[in-house]
Amino acid sequence: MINGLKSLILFINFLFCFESSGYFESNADVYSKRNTNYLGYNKIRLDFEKKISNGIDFNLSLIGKNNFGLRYLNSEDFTPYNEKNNFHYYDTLQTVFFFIDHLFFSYNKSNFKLLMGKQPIYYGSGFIWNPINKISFKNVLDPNYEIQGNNAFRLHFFAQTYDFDLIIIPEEKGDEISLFTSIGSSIYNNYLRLHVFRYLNKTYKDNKLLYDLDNYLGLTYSGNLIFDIGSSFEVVKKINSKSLEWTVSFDYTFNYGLNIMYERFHQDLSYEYNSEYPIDLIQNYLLGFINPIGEDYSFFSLSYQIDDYNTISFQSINNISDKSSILIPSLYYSLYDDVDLSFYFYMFNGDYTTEFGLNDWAFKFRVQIYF
Amino acid sequence: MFIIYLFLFSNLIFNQSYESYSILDSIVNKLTPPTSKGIITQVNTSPVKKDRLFKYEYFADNVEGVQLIRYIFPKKVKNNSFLIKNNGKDIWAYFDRTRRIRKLGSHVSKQGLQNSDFTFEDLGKNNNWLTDYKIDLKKEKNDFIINLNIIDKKKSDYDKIIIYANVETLYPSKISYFKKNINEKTLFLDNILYNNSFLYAQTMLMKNNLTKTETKMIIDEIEFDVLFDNDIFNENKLQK
Repeated sequence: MINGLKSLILFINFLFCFESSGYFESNADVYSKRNTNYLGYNKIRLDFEKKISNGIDFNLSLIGKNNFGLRYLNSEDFTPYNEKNNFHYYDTLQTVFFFIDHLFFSYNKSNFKLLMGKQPIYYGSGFIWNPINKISFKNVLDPNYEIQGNNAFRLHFFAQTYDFDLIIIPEEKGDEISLFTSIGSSIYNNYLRLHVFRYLNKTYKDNKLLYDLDNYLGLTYSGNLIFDIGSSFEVVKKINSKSLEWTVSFDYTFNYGLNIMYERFHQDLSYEYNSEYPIDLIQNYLLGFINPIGEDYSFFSLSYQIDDYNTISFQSINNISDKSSILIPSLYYSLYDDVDLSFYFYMFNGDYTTEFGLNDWAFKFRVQIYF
Repeated sequence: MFIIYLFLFSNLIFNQSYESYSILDSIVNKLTPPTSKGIITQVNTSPVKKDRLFKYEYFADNVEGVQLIRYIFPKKVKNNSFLIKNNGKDIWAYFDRTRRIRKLGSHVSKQGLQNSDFTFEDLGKNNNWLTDYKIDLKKEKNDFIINLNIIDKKKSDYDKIIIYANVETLYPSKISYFKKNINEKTLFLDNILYNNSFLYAQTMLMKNNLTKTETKMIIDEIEFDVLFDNDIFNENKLQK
């Protein structure tokens, strides 16, 4: 008992020597399918940072979450329905859980930066879809939300006119690594980045898990191609394969605060949607080996900042392959400097065998308090 | 005799325009010294909403035409950063919560910084005042009044700018920005102080005459002639 108390005091003491910040988030979702259901969570995120010596930083992020409401989900709740195979898969949301999101140190020395441990890795120029980024996927319905950290070794070299990035990711298979390299430079307000990488692709097929170490070549661009319109693209080609993935996006903000954005995404999954998704594809989607499930998508957003406190937006996401879509009107309200409220309404269009036809409608309410 | 008069007259005109140019050049340089870093408090005021307060670290290398802004307060935006290159035309944003670095389109340069009345362009060095405008200089009591009229309307957002600068210090006290002959906003520079022979306005108030909103930038700390690390203005180093 006394030892436990000592450990707790030492742990608290350890945490308090760090610079800390974080937020509390409470989220509730209501959705209607055949019945109306609700589910939600309360979440706390604690970020700690400590400068150990000149150039060395240590970072720790802890997340605690408790789920409420619906906790027993079957595949029809979150994947397109497959009638022919009568496929079922069940998942249970834990009531309370904690995890380490980030645990890494960084070392800065002259033009080099080295990061080691579970760290945030994000790159790519697309707003929702980043085919160049095989490491971290965004939530299509919430692309601005934080992305979980990855265990990696990262070395960044900065020169006057370019930078070089090397990321090494140990794979779960245990005897392979994924390796990502890229070099980027700005040319007349336009930013170009060339990517060369090898990635361990995982596929679930005929009840077997298959691994393929594939090589890729990619290019990302962001800048202003015409007038002042923000433009970006990403293109990735798997070497020795016909597979090509790309994203193109455009955005513009008018002087009175109206922002419009359009994004188009394509990936090759070698199938044709024919009234329902093949069972293998659903399995791979569930396991996170492909993301998203469709081959072609478009996104359109219209948002208007009314004032410092209120923003309204209308977003539409279309799965061109299965002809399903969602229309999302939303309101973002800043109650105080560090308290935000968000309201989203989701109008689904498509039948139960399509990606965005899973539900009829849904509503989300979220409060975030930063400290 | 006519040729002599013509020569004297053209010499007089040239000297006047040269004087106007050099005075404006001095003003531009005084407003944006070669290198500086500081901490700035930003207060957004609106007639219908309560004030919003932000605090940020500011790093500027006006020789290279780059500025870095890193927010300290409120906690919601802490460590969010904006890197402004090419005098406001090339903007990179870093969002700490999502750890994402994103290049913003140059249309954003005309938008307010964190919803303020200062645009990203306003924060950069105004070299275009010297090249894109016709300069007309007048002297009135203790002030130079410099009228800038746009030559090519496509090149800048403002058709006309009027600068009121002290005759002795050449530091401006007021700058009015006009669009289609309407005085859209006015910048007031107050509490003018010295720091290591550099002049700076401790308080800058931008009044938007159309929306009736105001933004006050108060310099809490400032340092000039700063020697920056090579890579501080690198977009990939925005992540702290």
